[in-house]
Amino acid sequence: MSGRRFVELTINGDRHTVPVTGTTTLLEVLRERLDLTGVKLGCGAGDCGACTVLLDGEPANSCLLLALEAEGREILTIEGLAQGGELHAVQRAFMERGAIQCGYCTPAMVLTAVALLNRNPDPSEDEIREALGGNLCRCTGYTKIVEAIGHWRKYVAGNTNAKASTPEPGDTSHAVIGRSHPRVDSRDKVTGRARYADDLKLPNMLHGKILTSPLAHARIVSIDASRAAALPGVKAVLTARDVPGTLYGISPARYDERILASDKVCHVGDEVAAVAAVDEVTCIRALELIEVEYEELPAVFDPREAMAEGAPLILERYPNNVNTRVEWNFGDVERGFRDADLVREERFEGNRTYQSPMEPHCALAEWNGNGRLRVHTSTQVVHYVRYQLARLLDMPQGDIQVIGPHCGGGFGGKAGLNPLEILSALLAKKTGRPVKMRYSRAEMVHHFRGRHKQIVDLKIGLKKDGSITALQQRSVLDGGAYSSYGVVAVYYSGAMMPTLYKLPSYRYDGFRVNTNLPACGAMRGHGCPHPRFAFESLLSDMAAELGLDPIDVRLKNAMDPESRTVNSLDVGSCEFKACLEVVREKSGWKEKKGRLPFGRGIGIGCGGFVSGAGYPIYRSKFPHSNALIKVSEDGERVTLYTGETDIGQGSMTVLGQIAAEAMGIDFGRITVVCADTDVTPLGLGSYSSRVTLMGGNACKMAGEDVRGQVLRAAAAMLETTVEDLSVTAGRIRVAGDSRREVEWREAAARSFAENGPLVGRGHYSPPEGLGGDFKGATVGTSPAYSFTACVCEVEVDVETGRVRVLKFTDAHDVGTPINPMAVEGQAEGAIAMMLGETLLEDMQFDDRGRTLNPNLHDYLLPTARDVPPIDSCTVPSFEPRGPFGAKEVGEGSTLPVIGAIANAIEDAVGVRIRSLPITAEKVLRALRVKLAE
Amino acid sequence: MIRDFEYHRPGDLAEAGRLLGELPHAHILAGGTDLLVDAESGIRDVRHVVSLRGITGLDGIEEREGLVSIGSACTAASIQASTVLRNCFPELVELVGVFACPQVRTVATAGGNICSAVPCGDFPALLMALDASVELVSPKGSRRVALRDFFTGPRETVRDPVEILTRIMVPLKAPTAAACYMKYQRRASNSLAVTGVAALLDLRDSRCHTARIVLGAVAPVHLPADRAALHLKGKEPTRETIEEAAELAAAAARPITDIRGGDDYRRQLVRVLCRRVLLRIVEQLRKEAR
Repeated sequence: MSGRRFVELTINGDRHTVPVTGTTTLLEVLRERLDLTGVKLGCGAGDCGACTVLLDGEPANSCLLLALEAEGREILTIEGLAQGGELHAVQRAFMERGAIQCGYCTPAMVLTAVALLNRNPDPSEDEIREALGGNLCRCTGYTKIVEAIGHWRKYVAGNTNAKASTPEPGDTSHAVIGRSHPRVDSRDKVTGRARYADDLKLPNMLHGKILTSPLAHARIVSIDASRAAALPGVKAVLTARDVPGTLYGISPARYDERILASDKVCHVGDEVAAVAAVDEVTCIRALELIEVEYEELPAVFDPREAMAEGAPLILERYPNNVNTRVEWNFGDVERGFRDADLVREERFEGNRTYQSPMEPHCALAEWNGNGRLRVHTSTQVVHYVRYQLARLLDMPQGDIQVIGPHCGGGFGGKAGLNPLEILSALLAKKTGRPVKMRYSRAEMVHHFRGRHKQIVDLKIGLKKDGSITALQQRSVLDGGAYSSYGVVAVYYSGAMMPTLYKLPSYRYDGFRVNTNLPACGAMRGHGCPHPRFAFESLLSDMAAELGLDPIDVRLKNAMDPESRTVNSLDVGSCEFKACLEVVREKSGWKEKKGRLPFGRGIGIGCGGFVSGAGYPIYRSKFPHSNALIKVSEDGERVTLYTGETDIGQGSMTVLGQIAAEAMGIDFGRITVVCADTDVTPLGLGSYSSRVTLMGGNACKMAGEDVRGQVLRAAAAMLETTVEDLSVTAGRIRVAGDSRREVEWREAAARSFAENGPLVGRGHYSPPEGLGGDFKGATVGTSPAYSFTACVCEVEVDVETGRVRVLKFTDAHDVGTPINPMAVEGQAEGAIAMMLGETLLEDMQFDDRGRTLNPNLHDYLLPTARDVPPIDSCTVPSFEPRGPFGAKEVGEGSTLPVIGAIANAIEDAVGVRIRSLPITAEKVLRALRVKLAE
Repeated sequence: MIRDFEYHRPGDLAEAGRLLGELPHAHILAGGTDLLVDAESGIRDVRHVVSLRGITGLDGIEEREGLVSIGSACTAASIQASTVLRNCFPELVELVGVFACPQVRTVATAGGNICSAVPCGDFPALLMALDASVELVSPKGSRRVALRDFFTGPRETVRDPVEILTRIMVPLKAPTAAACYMKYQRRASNSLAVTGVAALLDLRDSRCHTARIVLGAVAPVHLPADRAALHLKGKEPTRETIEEAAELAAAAARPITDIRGGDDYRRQLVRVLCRRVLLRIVEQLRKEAR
């Protein structure tokens, strides 16, 4: 143990004398001793930049700086940037320009920008992107961050032009929706005030850690935790025999995970034991003292090998390790191929990618005196976490409160119960003290739940005119050790293929196979990106073979509005063709396609997704989304309660806009409270792109409920009928008589005075009876579908194979954009994420199933410099089932990207890469083969 | 793993040397961006760290007697900002632009990058091409080692554990010489070199008077591609000669396959980068000559 001593530090202009040891980092001092939690822990290895502070004015990672080394230097954290409550111009620019989503990278990003601008007040775009090279962002695609920094001068205090910089839409029929309001939480996020799970502390709190398996497949012979239990500072040790044996997972038919492994472990990182101790370091020392004797079993890491005869069986209940099998046959595929003029079949291989949210998972559990459990956790699904906790702990759901503080990104990786949530609850129960548990970057990767790698065999039949006659798909998904969301993934892999193009016939064979790798789950675009990559690639190749323009072929087959797909999905609004036309026009397609010099290329890709699943994960009779609105007695302040979680996508803002619009009040008067199961009504949470449509409909209904009550009071006050009243921006008027009006707040106060609390209620369930009646027909059903097209331009270095993406032009049918700036932000973020998945990202393993890149320096996410300019727009569209015509954007916008890049590379250098990621090495190898031919 | 070490901040080199000699598993702490990561990952067994922060005189950059002396504790950022280096070795200033990211540049040092001795390090490649040497100081005295003799293997050097690298000495280039470093990294910012190539050419009467080529990340140590350099010597650096030299450099490389790239691919990168580096130097010298 290092000796203790005191260090004197100058932080935000104040001198602090802090006890430290030799190993204490500046980050620990700032966050844990001084509660300057605007400094974030993202990776602990200097790779992500979330812990950036300014050291004598220059950015530095506080996670890699010993506190003792910071002595005598001026340290600035985000908390010291705003002066006397007046935000720095960069902070304002970030807010107004939509440069903030989950907010976890924001404080660091702002400080890095400030350091740059102090040195160079007028940086070029490239200089900005270069300066941000050490700050990773997973949400925004950097586009709006770069814009905000570039336009910072407009936001200097006293500059009155600031507001005008955000363009407002032409649509004036709505007062609140359709406008780019800055996020309701952006001020908290830009000042470091927003609290994430790991920023929370409770009195008398302990820390917890999990011992995980070092082996990919092994029988547990014995566990001896006595030495760990005896270590001073250790308060509890749990092994399988101390925890409920109830299995859990996502889909009730496939609950196959144990809280702690009892007899065997199935992947490196499988949970074996857990400890609670006075601090994290003691936990880690305790874990080292737990002796586990394993008997190693043969392991299998490739899904094709895993499903072969004689492969080691991972979980008894899945013969041949086939976890889920899907067999669908719609229309007459054989005839379709016979009728085709051109039939081609190719194999495409996806990659295992990880959500990599900037915020690591963290949970904090405490039991109160009355035996109720409260868990704060970084999650997308507070109600689902509560549901599973109640199952595992055998408690009524009502005795558990799950609170989602600010969430630093999820992308599907935080969409189920995780081991931290259940183990912190169990450790807290055993010790009688609050317990906080958090993952390191490596632990996140071992828990995983990232994207399934799919091997897709795709066969398409086309007529000479480009019309599709048949599609056949066989997908083998590497599921990892457990089911998680995988059942859905393998169904989605097939279910979503027919929504985009009119398919007369479609056959799908899906296999989700268990392997001895960390379990895959739901990741943005769930199950769809790899088959979509396959389809978009093969379609473009076949179009070329037929001498057709790839966009023409897509237009020829594009889905029409009010259609039923071959797999019985009902498509309502659909402006897919408009998306294609817009990107063709805006990208300069006609001038560029086939006319760019060797090494430059342009490509198109398309996609689309559900706006929420038509059926919930688990059977429930309750509406999927619910909302409550409470109006203060003076009628001034309106609070919206929604169970949906804002994971950075902006749902608090969007739902607030919808509710305010429905009520007829200014957006500034609404406060949004979300994700607290004691306070907010049931909402299934933020996954499957469901929140804008489903949560939005519930909030709209609650708003209309309030509006009705306020109008009744107003009618009485104005001595007229409700039908004669109109309301906008907080004023209620009698039609045709401009002198007779009453303030909304006065009418609301009157309503409260006469009837008691003014409360609105709303709920939403998808229409009943969606989908066909075959097995698995529920998957893919949705009230509405999004559509998107994306054109990409690339430059390929023909000597190194390096692909540089130069530009994206994308258009989206999202119905009515409730907040255009937020819609753009979602699209830009989706594109950047998928650029990473296409070119860089791939979880790799050694021959014993150990992850080779469980960090952010070998698993590379795109930096600001990797992401090119993105020109995103929406097309006019209205979805009757959506609130004010809205539908989803967050996931559909991921789907065109891989295909677009792959097609652009093919256009640039004439090689077709069919496996992901498309590394420079693969491109170069293919180029050499091509040259040799 | 957890970091578990004692921190020491000696006030001078003698005390530092004494601490390094007395304390088991003691490591010199400069910027710490490698050491703290290695201490946590367990790559290095770190029980004591000896900080250089209390020692004055290690952070100067000055030109004298035909060379530029760079204090070992100079950060990458201070190298980038140095007017002396901008005048004498603009290629070093340029290198910082592809080295890690601003956060790391603020604290990481050139001396640390050398002593870490990872074969993909950026500074060693170019400094070797510039024929730099380092000064090592210990209680027994000081010595000067040419950088090309410094590295013995991955994370291994001739430096004795009690020796402290105090400064890097880079001989001034002839006015007819120029150098350049290029690296191939998988993404545009903040990633390690898959392959790096540095070179220096001194062109006199259109012929190569001096040539040095150094390869990074393709061998257990930074590798001088001497045959390739020799091939250029006395010749006019035509495109053909440069191609031949690049071929020889690729042949000299001894790359491995790892998560960042395959051996064949790295060899190809040597070929391409070597040619590009040489062509760029020639172009620059011709421009200067005009």
